[in-house]
Amino acid sequence: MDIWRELLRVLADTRVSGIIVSVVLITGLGYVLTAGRVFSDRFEKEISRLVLVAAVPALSFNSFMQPLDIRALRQGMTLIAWTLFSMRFCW
Amino acid sequence: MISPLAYWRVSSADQRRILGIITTFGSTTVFGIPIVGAVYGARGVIYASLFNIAYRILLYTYVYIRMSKQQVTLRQMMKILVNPIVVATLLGLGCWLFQPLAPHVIVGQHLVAFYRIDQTAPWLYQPLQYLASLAAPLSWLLVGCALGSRLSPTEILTDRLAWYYGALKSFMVPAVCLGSVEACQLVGIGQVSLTGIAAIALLMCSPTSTIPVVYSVNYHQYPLMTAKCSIVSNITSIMALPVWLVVLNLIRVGG
Repeated sequence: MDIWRELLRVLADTRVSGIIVSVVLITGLGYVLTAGRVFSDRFEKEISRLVLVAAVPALSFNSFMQPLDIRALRQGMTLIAWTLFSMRFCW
Repeated sequence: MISPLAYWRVSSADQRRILGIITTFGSTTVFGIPIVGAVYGARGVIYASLFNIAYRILLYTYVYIRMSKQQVTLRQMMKILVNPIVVATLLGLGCWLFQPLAPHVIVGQHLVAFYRIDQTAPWLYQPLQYLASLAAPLSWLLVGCALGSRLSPTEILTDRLAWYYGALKSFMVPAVCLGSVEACQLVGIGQVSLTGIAAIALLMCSPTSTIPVVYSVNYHQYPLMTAKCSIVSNITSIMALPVWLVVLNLIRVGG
């Protein structure tokens, strides 16, 4: 496998490059607007609550709205075991 | 295993314990899940949410015991169970698992469980979907806000321990987890799909979780060190994210 060619191919994938650029630009926007006092400390706390109380629960719940797949269920159980293993491994 | 080896030069055992905790527990909910969802879709979110259930239970119990040096109370257990993310995940998981047993309705030409709101009640599913789509961009905006409100450039840039921690958290920990999962795949232990492997790597690359930072402030366990490490890990995680996305895509292409 020509690693550089594969690397360029992956970076040229608009889904991957779109995510990378979005993370960098939106994080940068948050930094600039907070450092420039456009956003207050209260804004950060309230948006954080919105994300934790509404957006992530909605994302998590909606992701299960699909047909039951036994293979995915087995994978999920394996992943829970991997979580415990990863925690122990890192600690 | 990683933490005692990585922080052997830190002289204080208490400091090593705190560094071990913040190295292990990342902000999987705010950083990890939205990214996994954006890249790998609903299947990725299912895996990440299941990973996150065990993770959050440990975060609210084991981390609390280790940092506060107290026992878990009933109130603490209730806090885990009424957390909106845990409730939504368990509710979604229950709906997903019990589909064959639930009463079915005909939608178009398919029989689906009556509570499959994506099919039976799109008017309810759509607002939830709008809220869900806010998770990723708002989380990234929050990371930027956290950097903008707390970053004192000279103080942060000169803290070598914080940068060492950041590199370890964002690069070394996911690399070791990814390596161990791949090694187990080769010998046929705990088979996980590429999406599952990607979920593990991206969740482990998340910056420091805010919960241990709050505990460290409340229980006076090196709060300045955890705050600096948390800020630096936000920067290193953003630097590491493109690297991990490319590595995971290379694994997918190669594999």
